[in-house]
This record gives sequence, C-alpha cells and structure tokens, in this order.
Amino acid sequence: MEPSMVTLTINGRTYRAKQGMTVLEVANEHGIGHPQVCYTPELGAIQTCDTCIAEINGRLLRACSTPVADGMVVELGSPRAKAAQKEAMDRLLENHLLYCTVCDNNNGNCKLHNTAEMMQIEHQTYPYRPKVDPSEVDMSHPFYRYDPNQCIACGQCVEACQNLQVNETLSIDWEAERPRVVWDGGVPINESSCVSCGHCVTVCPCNALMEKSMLGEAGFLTGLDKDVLNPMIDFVKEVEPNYTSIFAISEIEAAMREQRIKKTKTVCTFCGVGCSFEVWTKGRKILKIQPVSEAPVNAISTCVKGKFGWDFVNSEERLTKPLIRKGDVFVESTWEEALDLVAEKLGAIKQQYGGNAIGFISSSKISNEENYLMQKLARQVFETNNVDNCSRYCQSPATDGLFRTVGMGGDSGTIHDIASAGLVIIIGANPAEGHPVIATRVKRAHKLFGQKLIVADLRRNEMAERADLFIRPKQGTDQVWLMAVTKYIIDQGWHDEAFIRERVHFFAEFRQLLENYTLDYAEQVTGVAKADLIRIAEMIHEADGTCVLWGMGVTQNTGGSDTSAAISNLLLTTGNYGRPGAGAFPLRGHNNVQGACDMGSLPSWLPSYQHVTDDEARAKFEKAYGVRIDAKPGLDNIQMLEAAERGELKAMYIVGEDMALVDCNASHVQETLAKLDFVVVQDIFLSKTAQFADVILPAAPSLEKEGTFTNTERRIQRFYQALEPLGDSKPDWWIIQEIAKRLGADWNYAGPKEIMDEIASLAPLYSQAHYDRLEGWNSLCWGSYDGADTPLLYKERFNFPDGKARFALADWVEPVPYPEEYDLLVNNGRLLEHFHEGNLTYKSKGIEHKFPEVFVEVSPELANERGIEDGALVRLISPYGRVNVRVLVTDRVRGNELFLPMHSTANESAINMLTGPQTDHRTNTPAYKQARVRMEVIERSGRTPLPRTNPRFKQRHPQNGVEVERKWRRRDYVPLTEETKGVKIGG
Amino acid sequence: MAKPITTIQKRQLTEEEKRAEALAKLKAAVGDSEEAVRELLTLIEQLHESGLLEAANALLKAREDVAKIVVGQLNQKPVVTTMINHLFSIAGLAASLDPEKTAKLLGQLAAGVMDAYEQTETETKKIGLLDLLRALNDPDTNRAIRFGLSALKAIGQQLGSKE
Repeated sequence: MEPSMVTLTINGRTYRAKQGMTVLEVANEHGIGHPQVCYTPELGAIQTCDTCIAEINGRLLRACSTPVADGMVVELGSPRAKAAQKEAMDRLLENHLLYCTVCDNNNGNCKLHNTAEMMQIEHQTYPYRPKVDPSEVDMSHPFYRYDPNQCIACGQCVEACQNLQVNETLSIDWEAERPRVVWDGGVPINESSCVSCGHCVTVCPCNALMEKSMLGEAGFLTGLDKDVLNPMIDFVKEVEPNYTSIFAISEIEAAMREQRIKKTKTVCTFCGVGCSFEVWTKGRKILKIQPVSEAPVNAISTCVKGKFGWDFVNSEERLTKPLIRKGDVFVESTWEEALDLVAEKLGAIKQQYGGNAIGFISSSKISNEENYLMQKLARQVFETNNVDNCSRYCQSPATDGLFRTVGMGGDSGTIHDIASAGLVIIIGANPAEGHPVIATRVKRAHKLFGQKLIVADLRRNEMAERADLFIRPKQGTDQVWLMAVTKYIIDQGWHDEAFIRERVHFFAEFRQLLENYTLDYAEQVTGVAKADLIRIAEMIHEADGTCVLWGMGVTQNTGGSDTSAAISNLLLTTGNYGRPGAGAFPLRGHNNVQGACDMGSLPSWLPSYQHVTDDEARAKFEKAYGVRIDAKPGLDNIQMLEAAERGELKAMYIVGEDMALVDCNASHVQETLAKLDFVVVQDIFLSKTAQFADVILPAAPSLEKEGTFTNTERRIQRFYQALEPLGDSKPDWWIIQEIAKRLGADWNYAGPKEIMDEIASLAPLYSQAHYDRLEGWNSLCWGSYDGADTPLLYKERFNFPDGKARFALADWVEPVPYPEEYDLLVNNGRLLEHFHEGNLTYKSKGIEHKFPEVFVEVSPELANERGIEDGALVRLISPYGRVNVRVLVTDRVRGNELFLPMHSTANESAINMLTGPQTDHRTNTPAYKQARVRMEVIERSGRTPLPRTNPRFKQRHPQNGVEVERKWRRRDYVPLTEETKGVKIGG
Repeated sequence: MAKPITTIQKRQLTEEEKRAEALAKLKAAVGDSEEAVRELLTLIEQLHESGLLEAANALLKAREDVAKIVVGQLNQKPVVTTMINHLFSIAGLAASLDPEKTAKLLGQLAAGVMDAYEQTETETKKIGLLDLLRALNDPDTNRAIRFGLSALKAIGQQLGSKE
C-alpha cells in the first residue's frame, strides 16, 4: 500500500512528501542544504545537537524529529531559526578545536567542518575548553582511539553501539560536568566489552574517534613530530578566530589529499553477508575502511574483520613468486617455468589416464569469473566434470533441502526481509560471530521494533542470550523437533491451508509422514521440553512473517540435507515463502559460496544450475566450448580424495582452499594428498595444503584485482582493484587462463568484464549481470531466468515446471554412534575475530592481540569433575586423531559438550584432526558437528589462552540508545526549541 | 610420496643483478619521457648554478629543526598572529567592497582632486562665509557633502552595532 502524500511549504516553495517522513528527510531528499550534525539516516533522529532547528508553523522545532503534515509551513533559514542553529553550533564548538589543516580527519567528509563552513561560522562565541588532561586520550585499543577533548558529545557513536550494532558498550555520561563518551561505564576501551565492529568510528562526525591506521598518515602535515605538530595546532588556534579563511586553507589541503589517497569500492571477503565499502589506500598502505550509506547490504555497518582485518594483504608472508618443489625445498621460479611445468604435467596425465584422473577444487573465496574459468578449464580443456568447491564442506545440504522443496538453492529474500520479520528462528548458527552484520539487523529489530527471536543451539551464544526462547536440542536431532512443531501446527489448524492447496504438492503424504513425530517423541529424542515446542508453534502462528536462519549446526550432520528440507517444509506449511519479512536463509559462510555454486564449480551442475544430465543444457555448453561434456556427474571433493586413495585420481589443481586442514579427518587427507602424482596449489600464503604441492602459484587477493562476488542473498556485486598485485603474484583468472592457453585453449580474456559477458550469455540467472549494470554501488539479486533483479523469490511461483513447491518426505537420520569411551561431544565452529582456519586473520596484529590462539571451551561442571581450570592443557583424542589445546572454562557450553573453534593453522590444534569420515547421506558433506572425543589432562592449570582484554570476559552496558532526555534534564541545558509539552522522541 | 615442505628457497639476486634490474627499469622510463627528462636536467643545472639547489638541500636536510624554529617563533610573538589576523581582516574588508563602485569612486576622487588643485592655482580670492553658503547651492559641491555625511553616518552605525 502506498503511503498517503502531504503538501508542505519549505522556504516558500511547495513540496509533496510521504506521510511519516520528517521535515529533515524531505529537505535532504530535495537537496536543500541544512545543518544536521547528529543525524545519520541509519540511526534516525537522536536529537542531541539542535543544529537542525527550523521555524515550523511559527515555532522553533527540530527538523529531524518533526513529522511532515499537510499545509505545514517550514522556514529553514528564518532569522530566528538561524539564531538557534548558530547557538547550537556554538555549544558544540565549545568542545572542539578546529585545527582542520593539521587534522587527520580533514578529508572533505568531516561533518563538523562542513557544517561549520556551510553555516558560515566566523568565530567561536564560547571559547574552546578542554574536558580532560591530554594524557586521557584513550589509545588503549588496537584499532581506534578516542580523544575526549575533540568530542562534541553528539552521541552518534553511542546510538550506533547501543541500537545499530547492539553491542551495548558505549554511553554518554550526561550527568558529568562535561559530558563525554564512556566505555562500559568508564573503563579503558581495550578493557571493555567492545567487539571492534567500527560503527562508532564510522559515524563520528569529527576526529574524536579515529582509526589508528589514519593517524599521522592521512594529512600532509599530520605526520609531523609532536614537538612540531602541537605548536602548530596552537598557532592555527591563535589565528583561528576567522574560521572562513582557515576553512579555505584546510579545503586546499583536503583537495591535495584527494590526489594522494585512493578510494576504491570493494566487497568484503570475510563471510557471506556481502558488505561493501570503500578502502582508502596511500601507496600500498591501507589507511582505512570507509563504509557508506549506499552499500546495498550493510550501509554503514561492519564487523571487526571487515573494518580492521586487512593486514594480511601486505603481510611479509605473502607468496610473491611461483614455487616449484625440488627435493626438500620449494624453489622460486619464473611464471614461464611454473606454468610450463603445470601444463606439461597435467597435460601428460590427461594424455595417459584421461581427464577424469584429475580433480579441480575451486574456491568460495575467489570471484565468479574465476570460478567460471575453473569449471571451464575442467570441462573444456580436461573434459572432466571433476570440479567442486568448498561449499561441499558447509552449504551443499542447505542447497539440496531447498532444491527439493522450493527449487532454488539460495536465500529466499534479503537482509531487509530478516530485519522486517515478525519472528526470526536461528538454528545451528551464530550470526553474532559468523555473520555479524546480519546479526545487527536481528538485534536491532529485536531491541527496538518488537521482533521475536528463537534460538536452537547447543551453545549459549550471544543470540541465544538475547532470544525470547532458547532451546538446546541434542546434537543432530533438529529435524525431530522441527517436524514435531510442524505437526503440532497442523494439528492445531494453524497451517496456511489456502497457500498449501494452491502452491504445494504432497500435503497428504507429508501429514502421513508426520504421524510419528509427536511432541512426546520429540521431547524424548531432542531433550527439548514439550512446553517449549508448543511455545515455538505459538510464536510462529502469532508472528507476522517468520524467517529461519540456519548454518553449519544443521548442515554438518549426517541428516543435514533432510533437516534443511524440514525447515523448508515448516515454512511451506505456514505460508512463509514469497512474502516480505519471511523465508529461508541458509547463511553462506564465505564471501562467494553462492557464486562458486552459481558458476557451476560443482560436479553435477553447469553454470546457473543447469544439470549435466540435462541434454539441452549440455548441448548449449558443448556448442560454446567445442567439446563433448560427460552426462555423468563428476567427483565431489570427498570422492576425489577417495579416488586418489584408490590410485584412480592422479593429480589435483586446488585453488584457494586449505583442504588439508578444513576437510574432516585431516590427517587422512594429508596422507592422501601426499600420494598424488602431481599437486598444484594456488594461494596467497603457504597454507598447510600448499605444503603438499609440487607447484605453488601465487595468487592475488580481492583488493588486488577486479571481479564480482555473489553473497548469501544471491546479490551480485562488483569489486574494484585498489592495489597492484604484490610482487609477482597474479589474479587467479589470469593464472587459470595461462594454463588453459598452454594446453591449446583459445582463451583471450582481457579481463573479468569479458568473462562476465560470456557467463551472461550461457547462465540465464546471470544474463543481465553485465559490468555496466553493476557499476559502483549497484547490485543485482539473481532469481529469474530472464536475469532480472529478484530480491524476493517465489512471489508468483516456485522453481518447478508447474510452479508448485513440494513437501520433502524424509524421516530423520540418527547421528553417528561412537564407542562409549568417547564420552565428550566436540562441537566446533567459528568465532568473531577469525576467518576460517585463520590464514588471513592471524596476520592482523590487532586481532592477534585480542585473540592470539585457539582454545577449547569446557563447561564449569566438566572442569570441576576433571579437576581442571582456565589455562589447563588437555589432549583430545578421537578415533581419528588427537590435538593438544588449552582450556577456557565457560558456561557458554554445558555438561559433556566441548567447543573447539576451527581457527588453527597447525595440526596440533586443528579440529579436523578429530572429525571422522561420516557425511550427510545425500550430499557427502562431512558431519563435522558429530565428532566425539575423550579427554586427557596434561596440565591442570596454566596461562589462560584468551587474554583478559577479550570482550568475552566483559559485561555489556545496555541502555535505551543515547538517552538524550538526560541531556535535556541538565540544569545548564537551555532549550532552543519551542515544544509546548512532552518532547517527542523521533526514531 | 610428497612430504609437506615449509621452507622456501628464495632466489637471492646478487647486488649486481639488482642494480641491473633497477637500471633497466630506469632506462625504460627515461626512454618513455625523453623530452621531459632533458628539460629537467636543464632546470637542475640552472638551479645548481644559481646556488639555489644547495640552499634547498640544506633546508630540506634540516627541515625538522627549521620547522621547530619557525613554529616556535610564530607562537612566541603574538605580533605575528595579530598581524596574520589583521591581514585576514583587511583581506576580508577589501573583499566586501563592490569593485565596480570602488573603481568609479576612486576615478571621481582623482578627477575632483585634480580639479581642486587647478582651482587653488588660479583662484586666489579668500572664501567668505557667504561663499560657503552659496557653494552649498552648487549641485556638484552638494553631492560631495552628501557623500561625506552618508559615509560618516554608515561608519557611525557600524561602530554602534559593534558594541
């Protein structure tokens, strides 16, 4: 429904505006310049600065919080309004020294500077007074600093921390003589519950909060020694009274900076959310990550990895030359030598044994274009379908469950649907750490807008702490409670009968299947109380739209595919598809899991999910590639290793995947890799897998090339080149092409753009994804066969020939049985600070400072029973291997359940030394989550593995946003507005 | 059987190889912009001959010390900041005047002064009170007096509003 329109007058001109907008929003929409220091669209009106005051129907009111009304008369610049704005600005400037020319924030985007200039502020009415001794500038945190003496106490950082990121660390001490920002009520930043997401730094309108990487680097004069810089600031201050002249000079300096600082749009590679932002570079130096409102997924949101985790790009350990195994060492070589060797060896193996003797592992971290070339290399040059990517390890079961029920393997909506859902159910996922920006949307909706939250997990993670209902089903039993809840909903008559009748097949059979899944049975199998199951059913029934988010806690089980299908069944039963604020969201773990699959880096699928058994699809590719394509699916990751063991697979070409550590039963994988005749690894570091290679090809990470990634929402986004490839490293697409050319392929791509044009011609879902369509911040969510942008799937039809969905009919699969001696379940997964095994993120000094090494979480009960404490050293032993790790005692885990994060680059502590060979019975995804071990104590106590400065040890300080009312209640606050009574809080 | 390897044998370039590589790059760069390089050489020669190059070198080498001295001096003497503030004020005043009107006024002033000078040369008779009153009737004189009075009034207003 379209909102009704109103007509109002601003500065004597008539404007039409949507009901519900504020005066400031209308002014901004029409580009009418107006001061608004404390306003950021993502935060709404926080009303702390008073600079946006306007004369509205004759009264002085804040434009940011006054809703438009029909016939309203607004004067933004009447003498009275101007006087109020000027007074408001003077009050701010009492807290801030405008030494812009020698300030690192003078980059043309300083909101305070630009507003003072726009308002033609000539001099300071209230002289600047520092709040604290300069020694109190907080430099404790590894990534950012806070300078109270430059802080104007606008509170945007507080609002962002409390209500957008919802980590609830920052507040303003409004009752203090001079209000300032405090962390956890007043501790050094590094000692606080801050998770380093960077929101506060991003929204700061001046230089009070700055990235440390900017300090002394951004300006031409800011890098000077303190004994030159400080007198210079004093000097600038003396001259200051005439601001306009100083602004002119600082503007010249800012323009000079523009020439030196390069700003490049990029897409984050640390998870599947698909955040995009600018990266600011000076030479090879990364000055900072600058989020922008235009970013379609995250807007101004980031997490610690995306905002601060890029040091790996300039790491000393980067591979910069091709390496060839000679005896016991790798020897540096030229590209010619290395590529010739790869082509010669792989060519010979193909000649002798056929293309099926070679396996190709593509990567969920490289671009769509590069994934496309990988599968093309396999299918065209080597004539084999043996190509897979690491989504096999995580996401294939979710894709399978969706393919069977609704027909497309991807999130059914976008982050905006998650934010607007009435109820969010998170199963076996920890988005607060694994997908932090998606989690912010849930946390914000839950805190401010009444969204309900259910979490099903073994481990009491942050989302579980915040949930309205938290259940802890036994590992591998989610499908049982899901089916019981579905049955209960149908029994109560709460299912969406019309939806099912018109849009879904096999309802009768489904009901039949559900017969056994009573609440009693579910309670017995899962350990979840009947009352909780009923409550879940009620909450789904009451909610206006339910979104289910799930992750590896579901998929990495023997019944991962069927459980994913059961989730989809539940959504079909309740009509939660094809409408906003509802749907299925398998949270993709890596930046391009979705894209790698879309591109056909899969043994049974050609690009755009055209199956290799589909004659028509195959014919199309056979024509384009000029070769015959086998109608038989190739080998997946797991099968490749099995074939290698049998001696049938002779060689592997592995791109950007540390399978020696991330595949289950890692020691076995390493033995198998060692057996192969020839292994090529393409990576940016000497990973564990690369150590087994015969040739290592040094690749370039995303900041050093262009391309596109497709995120968990199916959103295709371009990233641009910010830096030159380091040393002799090369973009993956270039390397793959060189190998293809040496084996006689007629490839001649000048760059990723041309590769995408070819993809668009062959992959219907990508047929409109040309580079000009994706320019800048533009993006496109695939989902229609004409290639059109389709943020919300299944509005009209499901992806089957008859347009109807299908209930998947499958009983639950019992978890792997283990001998009794393995008495502890070792759950595993990801934590916030690190990405995957940590090859990239341990290269960041700041992250290492907060999280230096992996550890195992042990429950207080178990620690007590075994007589161990924090810092104890234990050996975990499974039937497949053993690791030694230090203990962190925490009640996030309970009883005999351990949690061992996957962030280890060493065999001695890698989780996959413990995991076994069992897999999901439909997709071969390893059942990582069902590993069991016994524990031996090596040392009963010791040094704690996680520094006390890690936020996990701290207490959050939640409050209702910035709480401006407390400012208004101050004795010395003289109101500038003419509200009659009861000040309206905007938002 | 391929054992895992963790050592990389870097190909160490000898000093000579490194130099050769750097020279080759440099040569290519010079070749690409021969004309510019020639001009630059001429410029350097002239800078050298004039002694400017030497001075600049010395200044750059001592830049941190020099900066400290300069900034220190600036801060020690309030007269400097006052002067800079005056300069800003004067610049501001000049900028607020309408250049067209100022030009006209200055032209008229010059013409008036010349005329007056000639008058004093030729007319020797003493001016009496009546002459003064009569002069008020002269439209040219009257206009000049009105200008003077208006200017005085405007200045007075400005002085009043500053309080």
